[in-house]
Amino acid sequence: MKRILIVDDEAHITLVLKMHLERAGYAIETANNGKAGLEAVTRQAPDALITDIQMPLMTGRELCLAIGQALPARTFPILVMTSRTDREEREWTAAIPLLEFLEKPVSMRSVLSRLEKHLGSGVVAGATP
Amino acid sequence: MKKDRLGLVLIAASLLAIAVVGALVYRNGLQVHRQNIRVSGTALTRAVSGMESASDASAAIAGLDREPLLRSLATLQNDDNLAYLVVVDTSGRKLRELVSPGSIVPAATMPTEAYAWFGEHTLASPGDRIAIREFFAPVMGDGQLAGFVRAGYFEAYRPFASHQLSLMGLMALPIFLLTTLAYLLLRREIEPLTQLGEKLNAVSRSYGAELHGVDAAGGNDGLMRRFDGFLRVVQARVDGLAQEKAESQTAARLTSYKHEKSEYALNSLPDAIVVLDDTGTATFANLKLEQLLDRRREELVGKSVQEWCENRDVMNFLLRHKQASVAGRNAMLDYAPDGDPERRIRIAAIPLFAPRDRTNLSGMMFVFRDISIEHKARQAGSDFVSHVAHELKTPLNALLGYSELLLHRSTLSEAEQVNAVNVIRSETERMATLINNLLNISKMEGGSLKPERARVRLHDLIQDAFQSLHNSALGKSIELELSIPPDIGSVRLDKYLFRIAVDNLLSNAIKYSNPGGRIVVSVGTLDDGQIQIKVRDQGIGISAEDCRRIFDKYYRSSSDAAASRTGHGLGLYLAKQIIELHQGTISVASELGKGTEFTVTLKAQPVTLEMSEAV
Repeated sequence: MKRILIVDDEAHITLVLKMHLERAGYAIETANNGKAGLEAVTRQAPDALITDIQMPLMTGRELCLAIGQALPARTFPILVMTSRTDREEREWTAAIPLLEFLEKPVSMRSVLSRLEKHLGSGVVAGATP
Repeated sequence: MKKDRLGLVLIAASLLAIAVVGALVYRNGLQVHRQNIRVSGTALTRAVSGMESASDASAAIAGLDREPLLRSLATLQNDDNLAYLVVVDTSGRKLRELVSPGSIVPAATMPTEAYAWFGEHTLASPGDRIAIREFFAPVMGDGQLAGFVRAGYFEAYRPFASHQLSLMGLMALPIFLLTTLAYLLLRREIEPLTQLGEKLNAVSRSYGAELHGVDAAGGNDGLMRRFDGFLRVVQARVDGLAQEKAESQTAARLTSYKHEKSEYALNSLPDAIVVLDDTGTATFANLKLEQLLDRRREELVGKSVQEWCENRDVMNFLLRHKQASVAGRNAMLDYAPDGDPERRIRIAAIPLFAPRDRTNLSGMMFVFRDISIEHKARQAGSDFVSHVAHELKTPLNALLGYSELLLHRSTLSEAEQVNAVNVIRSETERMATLINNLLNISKMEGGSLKPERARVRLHDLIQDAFQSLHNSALGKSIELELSIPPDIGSVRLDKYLFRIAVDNLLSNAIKYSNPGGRIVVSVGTLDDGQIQIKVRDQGIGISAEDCRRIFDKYYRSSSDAAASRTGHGLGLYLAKQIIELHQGTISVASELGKGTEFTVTLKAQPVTLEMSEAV
């Protein structure tokens, strides 16, 4: 079972993502800020990381950069849920490989399709309700 | 010409001198002549008288033939002037006669009285009327007058006799020579004076002044006049120069004043200015530049950009524009001085054209403006956009997520469904609050939000706010306590706005309280009539540093405990703005881990004012 790490300070968001993805057959781990997220990643690298940007203690951007430092040979994709898709936002993400935007509001279908794109389809065949 | 005149004068003078000398010589000669005649005449007549007189009257004249003797006497005198010598008897008959050639003895009446027997008189020659001076003496015969001796001399003086002419010539020659010599010497002496005079004229003319009326007279007088004229011209010139000097001093002072004024103006500008000429050398820098670049102007002016500019980007910019985009497009560069990300300086390049010639670029002016504040504001604006985007889109994210979840509600438990709906409701409310706050802030900052004051019972207002938040407090097991005297009375305030402030304070207290905590809202009247509202919690508290910035827009504490709470950094800012709009104050006192107390103080509101307004 593929492990997905969700990092967001909004408990509602983490919860609803978790519910959706669990139904899709993923194992979910959550963290409520970048710092906790980084700890989780360094403890055990997930198969994919979904993170918010604006978070206390450590922002999503800082988390991505920190992961880049800690795991230079990272192979798992990062999906960034962002409120902004303007130039400034694209500039810093362009330098990070295996990073994709999920523009808010994020539809669950788009999250699933991105994950399938990176992790391969039929993770848990027939598990989708 | 003037020299010639001088020559003529000299000749005239010498002639005059000769004439005077001649006249004097003549006069002297005349006197000597007369004296000679007298001496000769007297002597001759007396001698002849003595010789002719005899004791015998008959023998006295007629006696012996003494003519040869007489002749010898006359010859002895050797006098050209002797016209005649005659001896006559008393009747006038000529007894003996010695006459020079061409002369005639004039007739004369001789005196008879004895006292006049010796004498002289002037007669005129009968033929040519030549004046003759005649001397006479008696000839006695036996004590009786027998006759007279008469000797006549030409009275006319012939001064320029041949022997005298050479003398005159000898006398005139040195005069002539001296005059000529004097003339030549004078000429030699006068020559430089003449030249001086002409020079004076020329100099005067070069000053634009003509020495009027000085050409008429030459010589020293002319020179003096010319010199006088020259002095006048020089004086006028000196006066003119003094005037010019005074004028130029005034002009210089005026120029310097103008210069100082413009320099002062340039130094007073809030922007720093440096002017580069077309070689890239700084020709001017104002005072502000010293502060902005932390360099003295002396270190810049007269030096090329490379010598004083440390920042490579700035240097390139300055050099790139030294030949300039003459197109008139003013290029700009923003840079962070000393790599300080908080600061920004903007350089604008402005081409300087020669006056009245837009094609002739005389240099470039660079205006350095400290745009740190604008930069910060822009940064804040950008932050605001991200912030608002995040705050608005995050609830949307939840709404979308939960509504998608509800699409498959068959797979959800009853509790999950209720939770989803509750989340959707609360997130919607959160969005609405945020949008309201944003709108109110924007209205307030734009100045369009004017409090609509009305008489409000403070008790009811606080009670309502308290009630509406009671549920959310209960959800976190927080105890809410309200202490408000029922007779607190009414105040004039904008009910809608003030409620926002109170709500923000209360929801803040709930947000940062720990479960099981206690929040006390107390309202009271101070001695001076001011109304005080206190909101005290037992929450996580705020550090002293955060307390200073807690009312700043978007400010959120970065402490771990606070960061775990959601907030958009607008609530307290908005509350403060609203309270200040009501001429109130808000303050905070807090201790980390112990709790926080916000105190709102509203001004006392005189009853009289309320009544007069109520009428």
